[in-house]
Amino acid sequence: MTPTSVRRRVTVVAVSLGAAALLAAGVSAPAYAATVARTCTASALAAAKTAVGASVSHRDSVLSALSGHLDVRPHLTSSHRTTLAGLYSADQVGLAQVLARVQADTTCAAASTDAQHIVTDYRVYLLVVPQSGLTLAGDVGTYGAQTLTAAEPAVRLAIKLLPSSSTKEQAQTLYDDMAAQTSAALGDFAGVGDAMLALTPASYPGSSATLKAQAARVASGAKSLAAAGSDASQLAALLD
Amino acid sequence: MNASSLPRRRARIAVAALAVPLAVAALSGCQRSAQGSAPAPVAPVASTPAAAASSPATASPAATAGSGAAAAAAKAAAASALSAAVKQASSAAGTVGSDLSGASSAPEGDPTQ
Repeated sequence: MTPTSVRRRVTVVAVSLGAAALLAAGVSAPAYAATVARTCTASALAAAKTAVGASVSHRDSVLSALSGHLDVRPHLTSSHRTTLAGLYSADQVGLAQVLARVQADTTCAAASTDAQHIVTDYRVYLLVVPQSGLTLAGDVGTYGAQTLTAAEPAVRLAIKLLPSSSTKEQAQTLYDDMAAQTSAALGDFAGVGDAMLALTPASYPGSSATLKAQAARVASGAKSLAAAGSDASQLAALLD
Repeated sequence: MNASSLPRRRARIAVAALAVPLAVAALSGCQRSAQGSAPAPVAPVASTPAAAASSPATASPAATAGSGAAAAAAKAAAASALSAAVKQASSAAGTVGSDLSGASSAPEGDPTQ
């Protein structure tokens, strides 16, 4: 099932369309709760609990998938790996606890209130997913740029020993750009993981600006890394 | 990789493994001959991209006139190092793109949550 807003789903399942309309129209939370209390039935509450269970289940599967990504990203730093693994695990435990509370609720209003914690306390889609992706991207990008940096001494030496020629000039030009692009990539990727992992669900919506800024840095770093790789490829052909 | 390319690959790896020491030795020898019998240390290689970019790619006349064998060895070493680095960097760049894409779109999830 494709999860949508937990609150919206609970509303649709548990209360009348009239209540949903009230909520959509911006009716205050107390008024909404009062509406739910008037319209809640046993079957509606059961259906709401089922919907909440599906929402938790989907988040749990997303967290498991993210955890699986860690296994195929050998260049993730050990510190970031530990933090992300701990985050996924803690979120899965916490979500299970929220679900248990919802299952124990006896009113639609209580279920609705508890269900909102699935969103506000974890922000799995809005925060954890980009946190993971950008942290992985930053660390892998750093590794990629470092591999080019490691090749620089050999390239410098080879260029030094080339006799003066257009080939030497071309090689020097390519090397200079490769070094500059690699340096730019390293600068862009630096600190992305730390910045992302410092964000918490409580920091939303203020954290949105950080998310965008770090995503832009990763995109810029990827562009520089690709340019450096192109330079390196041409250099390799030139020196081969 | 087919069987016929293995000997070439092994020979290339062997050349690459020897190339840097050979080239460094050649440079050292050139500097020694220019400065007398005292061993002249090879200038340290800058360790950061920024330092590398700012390092003048100028060797002493003696060094730049190094033997053709040393130059060939250095070229082979550089080409080999670059080829390996390009593979790693390309792979990393692809992964970065994939992770960046994944970060901006939660699979089947509502990005407002």
